[in-house]
Amino acid sequence: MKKLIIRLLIVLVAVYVLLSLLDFKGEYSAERSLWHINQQMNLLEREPEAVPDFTFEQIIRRYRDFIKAYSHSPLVPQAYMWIAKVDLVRKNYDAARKVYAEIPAAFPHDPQHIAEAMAAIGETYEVQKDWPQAQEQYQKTIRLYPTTVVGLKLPLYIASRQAQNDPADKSEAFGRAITQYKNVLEHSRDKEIRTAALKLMVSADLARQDWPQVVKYCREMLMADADERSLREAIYVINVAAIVHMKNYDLPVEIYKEFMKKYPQHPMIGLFKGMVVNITRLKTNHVKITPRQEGK
Amino acid sequence: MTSKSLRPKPFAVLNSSISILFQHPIIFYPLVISVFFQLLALEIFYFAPRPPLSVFFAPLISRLWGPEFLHYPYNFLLLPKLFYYAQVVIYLFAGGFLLAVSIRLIGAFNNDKKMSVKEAWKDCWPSYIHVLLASFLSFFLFFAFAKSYNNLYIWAAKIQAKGGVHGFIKHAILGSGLYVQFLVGILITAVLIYVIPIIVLEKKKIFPAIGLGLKFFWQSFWFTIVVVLVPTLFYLPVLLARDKIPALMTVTFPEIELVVLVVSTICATLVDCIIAAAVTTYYLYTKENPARPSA
Repeated sequence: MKKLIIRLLIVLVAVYVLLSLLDFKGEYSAERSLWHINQQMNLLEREPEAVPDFTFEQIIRRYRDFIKAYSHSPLVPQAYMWIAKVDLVRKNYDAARKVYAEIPAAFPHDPQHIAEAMAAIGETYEVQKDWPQAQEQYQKTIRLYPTTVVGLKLPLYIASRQAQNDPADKSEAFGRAITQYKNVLEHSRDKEIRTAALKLMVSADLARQDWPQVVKYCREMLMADADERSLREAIYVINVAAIVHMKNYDLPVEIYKEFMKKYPQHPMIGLFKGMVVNITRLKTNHVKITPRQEGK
Repeated sequence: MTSKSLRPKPFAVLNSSISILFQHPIIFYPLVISVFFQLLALEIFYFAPRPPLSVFFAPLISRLWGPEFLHYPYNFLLLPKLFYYAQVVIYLFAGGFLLAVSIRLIGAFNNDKKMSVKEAWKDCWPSYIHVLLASFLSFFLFFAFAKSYNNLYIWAAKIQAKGGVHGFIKHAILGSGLYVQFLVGILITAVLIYVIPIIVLEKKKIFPAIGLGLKFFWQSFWFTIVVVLVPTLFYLPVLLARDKIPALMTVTFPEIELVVLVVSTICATLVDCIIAAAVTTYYLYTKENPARPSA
């Protein structure tokens, strides 16, 4: 009996050791290693004033060791971002900016991470209440990497910050963001980027309550046959903008019919047919939906 | 002395069953193999997100549950589910039969006969299909109950009322889920507990075994409930720990889940073994003294 247990235990341990060795220093161990360092960092972040400086140094060392040990991991840029965050937590903004500046040099062919790092530098200026410097950094990011995730989000972010600082400039600020997105649409053929740009344009026009423009950009999204999630979002926004705010029942019906004509075999065709029927019924029954009822 | 006073007491039977298990540790042999298969499955699922196993598992996990479960520490959120599926398959196709082999050994040792695992295995093998059907029946009952309770849970969660009768019903159902499942689990186990011993010891087929098993259970209702309940109570803390795995992972580290799953597997098998030994001992005793259950 004891022999059996020992033999079976040996098999289990051998399988464990073998499978661990086969993925030694692999992506999974990188994830685990970074997660554990991040956990320690999250603890420090709760009360940074109570944390002695050498603890921060120690955690930075751990991140640096991680970068050395898993130099080929796609998580390395994240590790750099975390190192900078350690400096941000202890309000050492210059040091944080230095770390962010390491990223373009370390990943010259990774525009997403470079843009993220550049925007993060802008954020550090913002934390220091240096908006002109932050804005300059953001604009630089948009100029150099307009089609990255961060590069796409920044025009809308800048507009909302400008609108916050100067409410009178709200419409102009969002208008500038839209101009930048139109520029992206002109130059990019990538479907995902175009959908993202259109979505952001919709957000900008929603912010300034320009309902006809909102419907126009959503219609463009539909006709470009975006992904299912984006289509559903566009349908929702069209319904709210056209029916609730513009009191125009014909416009969405017209758009959905146009979509059905263009994509008769589309997997979501049933949804569009249902929309047309329901909106027509609302119109026939003279049902008025006010903004307050819209969520019901 | 009346026949009633001669009736074996549940604790006395549990005591003597534990003694038999320690006197003849060979009884654990088939169950150790069952535990081994379960832990091997756990190990495989633990390594599923990593190469080389990820070649097979990653597309499967990604499609069925989402790619996030291939990454640390989210893979630990999926691990109990995968392990549960593996346990069900192992229980249905091997665990039930291995338990039957142990019961055969307990039966032999109760009658002071010597028997090897190989002999018990050979003796039980012709009944494999009946044991398999009994395991399926048992699983089906558990599954049907779990499904119904889940529907009840969803219904209760939808109740808007915070107070009054409706609020009370809501809180009673939502708050007592684990305990109700535990108690109903005990009842389902108890109802079918004599089926496998009857198949193995009496060489009965599945349907006569169910009939006899149910009759025997009814005749010794409280005894059986106590014999199933008492050892299972020792499993309750482990069950609670299993239920609180996400919270445990948050306050400790994700790998704690492996510890909980390993401990729960070993505990569950030990509990099963003690219950099987007790009911087999009682069944054989009653068979030799036919007046007992009706006393």
